[in-house]
Amino acid sequence: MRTRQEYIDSLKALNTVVYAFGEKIDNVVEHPLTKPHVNAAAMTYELAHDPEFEDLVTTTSHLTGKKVSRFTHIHQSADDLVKKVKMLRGISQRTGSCYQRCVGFDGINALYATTYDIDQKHGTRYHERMKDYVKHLQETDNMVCGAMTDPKGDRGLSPGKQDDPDLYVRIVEKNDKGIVIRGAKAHQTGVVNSHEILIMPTIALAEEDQDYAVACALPVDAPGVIHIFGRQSNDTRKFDEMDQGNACFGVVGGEALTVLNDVFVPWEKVFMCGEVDFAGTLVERFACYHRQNYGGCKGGVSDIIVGATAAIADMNGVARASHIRDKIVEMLHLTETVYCCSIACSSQGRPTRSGAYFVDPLLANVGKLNITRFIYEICRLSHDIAGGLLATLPSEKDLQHPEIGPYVEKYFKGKADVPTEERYRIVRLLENMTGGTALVESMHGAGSPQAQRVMILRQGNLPHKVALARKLAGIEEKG
Amino acid sequence: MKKVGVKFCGNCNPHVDTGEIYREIQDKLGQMEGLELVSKDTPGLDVLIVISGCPVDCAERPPGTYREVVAAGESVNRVGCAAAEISEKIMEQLAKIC
Ligand SMILES: Cc1cc2nc3c(=O)[nH]c(=O)nc-3n(C[C@H](O)[C@H](O)[C@H](O)COP(=O)(O)OP(=O)(O)OC[C@H]3O[C@@H](n4cnc5c(N)ncnc54)[C@H](O)[C@@H]3O)c2cc1C
Repeated sequence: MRTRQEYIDSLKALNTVVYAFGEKIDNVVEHPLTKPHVNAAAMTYELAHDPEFEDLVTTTSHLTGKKVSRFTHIHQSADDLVKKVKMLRGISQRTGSCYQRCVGFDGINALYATTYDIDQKHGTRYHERMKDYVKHLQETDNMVCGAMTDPKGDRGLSPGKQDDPDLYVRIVEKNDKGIVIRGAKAHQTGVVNSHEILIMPTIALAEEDQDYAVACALPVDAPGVIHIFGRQSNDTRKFDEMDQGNACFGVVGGEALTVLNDVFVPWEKVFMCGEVDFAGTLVERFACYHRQNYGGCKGGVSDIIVGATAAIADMNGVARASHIRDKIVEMLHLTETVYCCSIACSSQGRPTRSGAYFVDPLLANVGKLNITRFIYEICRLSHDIAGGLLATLPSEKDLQHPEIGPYVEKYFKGKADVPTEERYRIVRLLENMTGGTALVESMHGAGSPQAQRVMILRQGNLPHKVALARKLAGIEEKG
Repeated sequence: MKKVGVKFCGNCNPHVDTGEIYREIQDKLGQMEGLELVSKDTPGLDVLIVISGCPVDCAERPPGTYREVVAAGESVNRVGCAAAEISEKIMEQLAKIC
């Protein structure tokens, strides 16, 4: 397994093409826009070597029997699924932001199970390739970006009916060596500081959309791949220190639009090629694994928001007020509720035909739908408690200014024994963790709420519930 | 010399500071004769001290025939105690079995 430093050094050796603010970023490890996200991902490598955390962050490969990073593991039991959630919470507590490796982790698990099923039906040999790919990831400890979301153009039209056929990633050429793909993937978490990209289709596909049924892996710096780094709210603050709030690890994962300009992928890295009948299964499996995560990672992020809120309440001298305590209890309650959902869907996990364990889809979707609301509520309560300076605090340059700094120092003081700078830092941490980009991640990451509602309705067995009600109501069934 | 290893649970949501407990044990073991702190993976381990952050105690146990002392949240060998007493209680249990 790579160490933190080995991970960082390995990124320097890549030729990843990244643009931001209209300029090329030559060194993602050092550039202020990308460095925090590198640091966050590096934490997954660091904790794998830390005796206090290794029990969750590492495990034993079922393919080689060797100790591997859990992020490269195929779940072999419900306990593995539970440990994944616990690991995510533990890492989030150390970064306060997304460390990006879960998407690829979910991608390899979804593909491992689905390639097995494709082979069973179509007589293909994808599953063996997938096993080899997983072994390669376990040996290299490479970081993989999970690339599912296509730009999608007109959401009312299927891929093949779009005005521009490239709005969903598609195969434009097949030859004896491999395939050539074209298109783009949107919102790619951590892609600029990953080693590889795992491409998957984004929706269930119809027979006429065969070219869009493609799953494959490629290096982030393969010829034809360009990454355009997304802006975040407050991102120019990445050039400051205190005003960033979380200067070391940033906010969210650092997302990019990844353009695939006729990229060649050799057959040994192709895991689906035209099998439209399995696109839906793959998307659904990936989505459920990914929705499983949120009570873990956002649970850990919420732990920090709760902690920062309790700290600012104390600094403001209101920590003992009954309504403040009540609101903190509510925040804790919501945090543990989302965690419960992730633990529950994991402990109810069951094996797929491939042997990989899969979460309970209903509970995973319920958990993610809660995230789209409860994280907003947790952040709302933190705003209530922290006060208006979340929105109006002057910049760190003013705090440090020789003339006006003393005014900022004097008039932004809370309790007498708390240095203004500490209060300033906590407010900035809260501001950055609870607004803008950080909130939207909870809404749309792993799918918009409606996607979860559709799954909940499908899994909820409404006819069974109607039958139960009719029986208790004394309605006799005819026939 | 008896070999004593330490294993952590992974700390997803600890109720106690497991790192601090470990440091206290390290200090205390340094002052005890006949006990040697070694890696948990050492063959022929005599005792494994498990430090779990909460009562669930989900730490995986490495294979072996060692005896265990288990701190899980605010308890040692399933007897409740204050967080500040955990390392002391672990040492008491160690003394009983070593
Ligand atoms: C911070 C962040 C990180 C992400 N990371 C990744 C990543 O690493 N990898 C990855 O692959 N993806 C990633 N995503 C993408 C994420 O999965 C998508 O944002 C999500 O699936 C929603 O897609 P969209 O953004 O295109 O929104 P849209 O699909 O445009 O959704 C907007 C609204 O339109 C509705 N809608 C969409 N289509 C229809 C339709 N046909 N009929 C009716 N209503 C419709 C939706 O329900 C929603 O209410 C990330 C997103 C965010 C915000």
